[in-house]
Amino acid sequence: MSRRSPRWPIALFTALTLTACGSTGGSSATGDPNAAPAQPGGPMGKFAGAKLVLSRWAGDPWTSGQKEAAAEWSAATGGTLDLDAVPYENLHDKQALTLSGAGGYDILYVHPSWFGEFAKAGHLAPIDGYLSDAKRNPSGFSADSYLPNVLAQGKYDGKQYCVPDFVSTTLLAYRKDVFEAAGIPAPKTLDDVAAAAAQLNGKDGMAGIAIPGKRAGAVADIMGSLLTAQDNWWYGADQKTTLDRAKAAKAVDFYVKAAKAAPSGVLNFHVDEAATAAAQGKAAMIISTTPSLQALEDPAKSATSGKWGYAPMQFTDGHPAGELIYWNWCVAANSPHKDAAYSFLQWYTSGAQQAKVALAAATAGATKDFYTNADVQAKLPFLTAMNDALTTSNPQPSLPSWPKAQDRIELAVQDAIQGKLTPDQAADAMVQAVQTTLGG
Amino acid sequence: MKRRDWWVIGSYVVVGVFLLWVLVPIVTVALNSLKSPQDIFSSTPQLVFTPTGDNYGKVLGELSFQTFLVNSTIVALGSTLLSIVVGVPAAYALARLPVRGREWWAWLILFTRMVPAVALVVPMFVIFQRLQLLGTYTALVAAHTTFNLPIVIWMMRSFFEELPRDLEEAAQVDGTGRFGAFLRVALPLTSPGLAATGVLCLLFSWNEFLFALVLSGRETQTVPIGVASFIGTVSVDWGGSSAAAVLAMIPVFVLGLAAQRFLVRGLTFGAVKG
Amino acid sequence: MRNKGLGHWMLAPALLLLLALIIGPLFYSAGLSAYSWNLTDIDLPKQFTGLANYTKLFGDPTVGTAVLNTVIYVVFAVGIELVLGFLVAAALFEMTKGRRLANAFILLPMIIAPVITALLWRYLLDPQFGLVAQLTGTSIGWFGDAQLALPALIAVDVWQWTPFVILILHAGMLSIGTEQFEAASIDGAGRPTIYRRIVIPAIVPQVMIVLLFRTMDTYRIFDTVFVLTKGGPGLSTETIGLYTYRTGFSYFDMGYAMALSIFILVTVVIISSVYIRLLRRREVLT
Repeated sequence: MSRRSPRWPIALFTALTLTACGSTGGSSATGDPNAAPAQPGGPMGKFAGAKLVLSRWAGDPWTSGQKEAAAEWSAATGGTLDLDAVPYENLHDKQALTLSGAGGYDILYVHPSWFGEFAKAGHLAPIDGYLSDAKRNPSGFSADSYLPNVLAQGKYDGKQYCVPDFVSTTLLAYRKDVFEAAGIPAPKTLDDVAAAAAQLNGKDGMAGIAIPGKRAGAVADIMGSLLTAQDNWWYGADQKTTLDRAKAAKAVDFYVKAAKAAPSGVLNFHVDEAATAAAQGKAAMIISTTPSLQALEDPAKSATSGKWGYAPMQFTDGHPAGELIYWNWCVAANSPHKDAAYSFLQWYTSGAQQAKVALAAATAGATKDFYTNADVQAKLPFLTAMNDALTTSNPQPSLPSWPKAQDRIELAVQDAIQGKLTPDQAADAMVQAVQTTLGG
Repeated sequence: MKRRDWWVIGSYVVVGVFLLWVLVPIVTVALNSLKSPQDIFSSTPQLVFTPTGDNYGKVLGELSFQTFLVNSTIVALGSTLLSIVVGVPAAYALARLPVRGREWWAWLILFTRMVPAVALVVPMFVIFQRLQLLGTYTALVAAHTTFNLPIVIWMMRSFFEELPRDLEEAAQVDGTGRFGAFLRVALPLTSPGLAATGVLCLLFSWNEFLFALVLSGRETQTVPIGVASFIGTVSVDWGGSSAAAVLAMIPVFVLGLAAQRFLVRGLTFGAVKG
Repeated sequence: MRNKGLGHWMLAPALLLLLALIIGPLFYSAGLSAYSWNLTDIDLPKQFTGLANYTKLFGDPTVGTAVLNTVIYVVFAVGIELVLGFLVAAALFEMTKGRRLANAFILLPMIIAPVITALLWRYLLDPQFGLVAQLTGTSIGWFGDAQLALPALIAVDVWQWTPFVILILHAGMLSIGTEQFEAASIDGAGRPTIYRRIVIPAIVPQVMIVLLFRTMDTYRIFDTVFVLTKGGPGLSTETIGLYTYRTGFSYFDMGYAMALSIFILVTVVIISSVYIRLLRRREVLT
């Protein structure tokens, strides 16, 4: 039986508190979308009078950085670009309501977990034509400029809808000086990591390894990498469970060993606490997500900058793994300024522009040239390791029902760390959690 | 010494120890806000250090914490004004005027104080989303009015009830009418109470977290959200968040001390006169 | 009398506003809790499931854990605050000088935003760089230990709200007539006798008020838990308020979140009415 929800309280509410809500008026643009950039390296096209609105989640330093980029783009092309940043929790609904209603957004930052929904609903404009149009891209720039596996995430039904940026993954970092002093070779496999962590734990007031243990998402990211390293994943292309019990147990077993050699309070560590502890010399190693690892190298925040080596996570040498964490940039299907929107996206996701973002916020771009940029290499010494990790990586799960499964996965890891569950039992709990969520 | 003296000395010791327990966390954060990372992240407490203004510079500069302060001020003033304008006449009616079912209404209003914020925030989110008011000051002012309006009514009712009745009756004989008596006699006589009530509303709104967390938008986030976001997604900035905490506490301390005499009454809905 | 309706006109706006802002949303919530729906399908027809969300609630082990944690939190926090608050209030009462000044400092914690309180304690108890770790040379992860996290959260509550108890009990003690003490000292009664015979019986109403307000407020605890532990490690500090928030705004399971919020409301009202009945019997609330 299906019914519509009762609505009378809304009417009551409306009568008392309704205020006018503004809408973004689209003005007709004059200009030439095929115009060459005003300066070399600048955005393509001229869009005098075009007023664009970009929807994104709120969070610094990314929002401020993007405001600057928007101002730069405006100065070069003559269009204007306003940012509408809302808290992440509300972003999906704000976008969905706007796109299915009056419109008003031209560019959207779409999280993987609702990209499929929007593409299917026809809210997004395909951009294959733009990507292959030589007049709309600087010479040498095309779909091939992006990392293929990341760009592929923005495809739906054979059409390209989005271009990616904001790439990050999980990595291992270790103190080169500490390993050298203890006479231990640099860790290659996760077994090496577990052994070294146990050996170094407690020496000079230093824990063996810092690792996130709080239920906040990063535990699941790391678990995902530990599965990928064993060629396993939570679910398959048909979105049915493919989680292997034994491989999950092996991953949990590693997690428990690492947590035993972690600073006290590890179960309340998110990536930032783990990174703070490591940066202040309280841990010989750390496994965390890459934006947080930047804290290790920032001399203002870190007592250990320059002392870190980086490696992808792997169970067997030569088989690195990571988790692909990224965001999609898309053009709204009902935008009157699609040309201008693409101009901004092409310019913003290109290697040079992403390098600027990387220097400020330690997230990575999704173009190939980004990973060879010398400035970025200097600022983010983990770039090579990150690239290795991403060669074998699964994208962060993006199903609408995933958050609940993720929470239960992280609970199982915590229970195993506390000794309430054996790794096998924790693996069972995970299989069950994923099956309940996805079926299969 | 007499036994009585020991009681007094013991009392000072108890109060002293309690004050220490109260003040240590506050002073620690105040000191942290003036420290560089090297002085904060050390294994021994650094009491002697070179103070730095960097944290405040950063919080008020690149992180523009003043936006949160401005937003909190707008929401707090908006909700306080609305609660007072609507609540004070209601309080007077409940205290002095013939109202059918007076006690019943008073208890209904007290009941609203018991409604947990989390029970309201879920439907409010959905309703404001449908009205396209999510992230607006209107939404936050409305949400904060849910706890400020009952406080105003109950507190002001207790002040009005304390007024000697004959003063207003005398005013009515002068021909001002009951509303005139309210406006020209009762209101001026309870103005200290009204000021205290207003201050308390400002305080409650300033400190509120859950409604602001769910209903505010990028442009309207209040101070508690700003502070919580420092314990945010990517790095815990101890110096910066301490500076933000100090900036958020200063107005609270000023307001709280100003309303000290009426604090207990406000927190207990007028039940304890204090 | 020409002003007969005045009272109603002065009362009506407030009642309408409360109706729109509180009673209306609560009914809306109660209505929608009979459907199974996700935040993302707000505009789609919803599946009517009757009381299914409520039967799910009573079979949900997380709800059981959350309620148990919440009850432990309420009992210990309120209990400790009452005993400690009485002790300090009595000490203040015995002081001959400096009461007002001491009061001014004592009240500080309760006017600080709970979020900021959480921040203060997080830094105080940080296992690596917190003041407690620095002073004792230990490294205890208070909020990262399933056994210690709930007690640590209770300590934070005690820090923030014992001042409230002190101020109320102290006000109660100050309102006792001096003639009672004079009579007692003529009888030659010592301090313990005076407290047992005069002070404690006299402040029973204030104690009841403290119990009412502290129970109601600790039961809905959210801010400090959200900032300090997010319910972890495991479910060791999951409270009913936090679980409701998570269900609604992390899992987007709005129908169930609304059922949970109605559950909280009903239990709070039941607990409070018991207290209020007691209070009315003693004519504390009028």
